[in-house]
Amino acid sequence: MQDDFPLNKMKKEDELIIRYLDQHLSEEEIQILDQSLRENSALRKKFYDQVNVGTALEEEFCSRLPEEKVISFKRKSSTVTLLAFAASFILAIGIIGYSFFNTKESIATLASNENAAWESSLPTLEGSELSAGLMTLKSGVATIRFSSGAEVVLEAPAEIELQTAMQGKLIRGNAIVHVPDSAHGFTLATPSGYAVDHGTAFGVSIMENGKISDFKVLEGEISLHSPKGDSLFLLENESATLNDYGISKKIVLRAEQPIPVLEKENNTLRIQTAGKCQSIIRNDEIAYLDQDFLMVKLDTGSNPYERRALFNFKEDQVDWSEIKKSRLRLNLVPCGVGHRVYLPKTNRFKLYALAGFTGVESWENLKWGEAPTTESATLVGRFEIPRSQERGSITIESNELLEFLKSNNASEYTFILTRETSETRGSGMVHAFASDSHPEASGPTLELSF
Amino acid sequence: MKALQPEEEKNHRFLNLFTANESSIHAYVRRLVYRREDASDVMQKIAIILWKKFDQLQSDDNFRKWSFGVARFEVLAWRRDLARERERLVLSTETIELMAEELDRNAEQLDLEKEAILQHCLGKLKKDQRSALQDMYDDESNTPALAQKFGKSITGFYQWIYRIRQRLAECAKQVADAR
Repeated sequence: MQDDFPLNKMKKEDELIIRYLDQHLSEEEIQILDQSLRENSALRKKFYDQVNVGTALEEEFCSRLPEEKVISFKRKSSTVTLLAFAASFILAIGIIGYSFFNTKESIATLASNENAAWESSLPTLEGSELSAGLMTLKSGVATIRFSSGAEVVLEAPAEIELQTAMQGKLIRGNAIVHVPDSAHGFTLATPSGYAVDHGTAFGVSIMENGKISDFKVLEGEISLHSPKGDSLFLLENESATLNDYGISKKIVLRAEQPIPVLEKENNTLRIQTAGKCQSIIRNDEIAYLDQDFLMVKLDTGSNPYERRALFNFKEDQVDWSEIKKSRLRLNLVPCGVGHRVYLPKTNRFKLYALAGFTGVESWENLKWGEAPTTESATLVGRFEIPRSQERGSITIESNELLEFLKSNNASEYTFILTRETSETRGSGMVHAFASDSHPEASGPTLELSF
Repeated sequence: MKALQPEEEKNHRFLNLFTANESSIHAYVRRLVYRREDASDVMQKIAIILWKKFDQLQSDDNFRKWSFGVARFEVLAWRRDLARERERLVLSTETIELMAEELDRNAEQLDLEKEAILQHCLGKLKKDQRSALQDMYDDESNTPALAQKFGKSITGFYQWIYRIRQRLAECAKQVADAR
């Protein structure tokens, strides 16, 4: 830092500030300073800067605690007040002592466990008080509430170090952080830098190698700081990545092609969708859909991103009235859109069916208004998925489904999948099931036994 | 899960809230009370009052606001005592009230800047700048002796220190406001 400031530019008032702080002013000078401060808001700002630097310097240079003085004898108060003061202070020390020395200081509570499996030397029962330490979430979703009020919702697999009531470090995994007013300034460190929250909610993901952290602000604003010292303010809905090279803002896109499959074996027939496997979105903003996924979400907002999945099975070589058993299988997969913490703990889904040709020829870019409706279809199944569940196979095997398939004996059937439960607030997770073009999981399968 | 007695639970709640806000309250007090020893005295008083009146706190979410209110009151009491004793000189009540109000409003920004100073800006100081600042926090030292040590007049030394601190404040604003 340079200090080549010409001496004659130093204002008298500026000098008075520093001398006031060093207790080096005459009575006359203090009156001048007092009046200038009252009248001049720019000078007050300088004063605040100077005292604030002072608080920082004090922390830096006087890190040893100032000697505890229970009673200041410089005070010319009455003996009675002094005694009362001493008594109450001893009481306060007593309480603080109890917390600091008799037990490990609790800095957080394990607010909830949803299908959570933990690995930690700290207690892992719901409601447990947590002291500083390391916690590893092997599966499920869990919520840790720091005593400052900051709340961290973790998605497995995740590892977090609880440091103080105002600071934690996410070592790996995904988390959503909510910071109420009481915890402004809550810091979430990651292996590649840290975020300071200014009263918000934000999401953070640590990539597998632990070297990249992705941040997304859901509400309010945060500041990101890299170990190199650069920093960035992120506003609502903005995302950024922190890595060894610093901080960068982020955008992601993707697209895929469909692959149809048909399979037959013994007295069981497995039918798959032949490209007729599509999500629709109520506002028809198809950029929010992805060919790999059957996306399902209930959204009652003003520009609703409500999504439904439609899929069709066609098979004219069998007598549907002869089937003994029917199962519809769906594969739950994460699509990375939205946050599961904004969902209710249990999410309910409904499956509707239509028999025969629906009148829709081309399924590509199917508009909401052109798609078959649930009103014209029959409810054939329901199921529930806890928000903590990320992946899994869903099997719908209901009498309604079997009866519907048998009685109609059509050559094709179309299903509509809807989510009946909304989100608790915006940016809730979109449930996704593998479509027939998903690169790993198989798409919807209808299994018939004869 | 530990089953806590109501009194014990209250202690825990208080401690959690107090420890979470302590450094913020302390910084607020320290910005208004220019002597370190006085600031820790005032801080002790605040801690006791917060504890005594804890039952009056309506909601835990208001702890910070409430504690700043208590702190402001105690700072004014400190100022009043100081003026009565006439031991040391101090700014007028009116000025301190005005500043207490503005500092309360800007406390979060200042806390951020303070962090920036500690984490980024101090590292940018030249050796002699740092050692001059550090010497001023040494209880044994006095300003005339320090001015001599750094080859400056007393006025020149104060101006030099002021500028170094001003640079730190500017650096802190850049870090804290960086977008």
